[in-house]
Amino acid sequence: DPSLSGSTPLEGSITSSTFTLDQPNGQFNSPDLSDTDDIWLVVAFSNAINNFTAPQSPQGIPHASTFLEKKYYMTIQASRALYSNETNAQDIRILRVGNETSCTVNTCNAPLPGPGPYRVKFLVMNDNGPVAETKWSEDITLIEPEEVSESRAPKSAGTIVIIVILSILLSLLFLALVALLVYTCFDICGTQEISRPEECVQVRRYNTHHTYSTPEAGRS
Amino acid sequence: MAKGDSSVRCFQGLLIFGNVIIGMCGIALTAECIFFVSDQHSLYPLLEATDNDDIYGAAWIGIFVGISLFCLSVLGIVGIVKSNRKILLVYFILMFIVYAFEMASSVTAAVQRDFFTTNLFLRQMLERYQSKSQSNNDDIWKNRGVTETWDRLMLQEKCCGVNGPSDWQKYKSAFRDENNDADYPWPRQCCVMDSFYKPLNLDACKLGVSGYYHSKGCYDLISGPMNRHAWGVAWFGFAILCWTFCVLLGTMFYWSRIEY
Repeated sequence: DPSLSGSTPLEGSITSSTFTLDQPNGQFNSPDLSDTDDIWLVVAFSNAINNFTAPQSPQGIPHASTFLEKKYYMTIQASRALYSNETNAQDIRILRVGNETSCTVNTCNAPLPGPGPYRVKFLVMNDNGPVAETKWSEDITLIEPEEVSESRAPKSAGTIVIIVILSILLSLLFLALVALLVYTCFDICGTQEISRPEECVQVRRYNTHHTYSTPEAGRS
Repeated sequence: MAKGDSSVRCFQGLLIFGNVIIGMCGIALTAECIFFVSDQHSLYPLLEATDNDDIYGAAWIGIFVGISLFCLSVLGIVGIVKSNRKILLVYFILMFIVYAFEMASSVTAAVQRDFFTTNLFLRQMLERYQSKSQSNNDDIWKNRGVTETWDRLMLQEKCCGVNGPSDWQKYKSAFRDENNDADYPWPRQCCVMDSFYKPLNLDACKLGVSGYYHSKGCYDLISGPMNRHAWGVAWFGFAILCWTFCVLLGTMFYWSRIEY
């Protein structure tokens, strides 16, 4: 039965509108099938797999355009030759459901309309109707994108250390500067107050003629 | 003026040495901040878009503080040698102003650095990368800056998204609004390119086959330079301020002992 591409884990194997399956290589070699039979991939909502009935003729094949009403559709038409067992080891052989974003034919492999969940199976048909089918796969749920949450960044310890210590240093410096300025002002203003006379004091000038004249007399 | 005692001379010598260190650190701070402002990694548009670009303001203040510290240290040396009270008073007042500015720069850089988380850049990338919103000129400018920066980052550094390409899948984004999920599970820039800047194998890139797309996230490449920038401004500024505090206190003590 079909399974998600698990052999080589790929980051893009499930997105919000596509998913990727391993190719069913070598599963259709039974002699009941012929090389001209069509091998279809049936995609259905998980809760609608019981509603699925294989179409009895190629005209009744449901397509992606009616997916939302019928809850299932068929796509990726292939033949046994494409799913043969001859592998080239380097090739990655997968089926990407939802790969075609612009096509005009009915059998489009269009992107899926929502997160699902979906189930798939393979159905082999020829012109007369269904020939064989596989079992349903497991549930496949696509990614639903969410809003990115806002998160508050916590303050680290380093920031708090810087803020606290620098605040302390700045305030100490400020106090020291203020003390300095007050001291300066006090000194200058203090001396000014003391030196500014409150009233005019008369200083009498004494004429010391007799003191000067004595040496004159002495010299002559 | 003290009597030429050897202890006074020694103290003078110490203070002059302290001021020389301040001068040299001022030059180093200027050089460091010019280096950060020149934005060698061209990551400024990402910061600008987060409205958290005060780190650049802090670096600009650092440039001018560094030059002022150098000039003031010369003034301080002159004042100490001449034991001139007036010069030293001017020195103290100007140093205090420069001290306050440098403290602002250091604290801003430290606080802003705490905002740098994966979530911040993730939100910016999801909201603005390839966003076509035309609400106002500021938005258009920021969107363009973010888009060009991310394109260049993803192409040159070979990374995708903030945590990885699954960012584009897990979260709603402006990019997802513009590009359908099946064709563009992640931007084309996440694909390994050939020499003509075309994806080597587009289908393999869309599937996430290793070797055809970049699987690692770009967060380390963004946060590395920005963290170094922020811590450089913050801690170097802090160290300079601690040293300057000691030198200033010593000089104030010296000043108080100068006789008229």
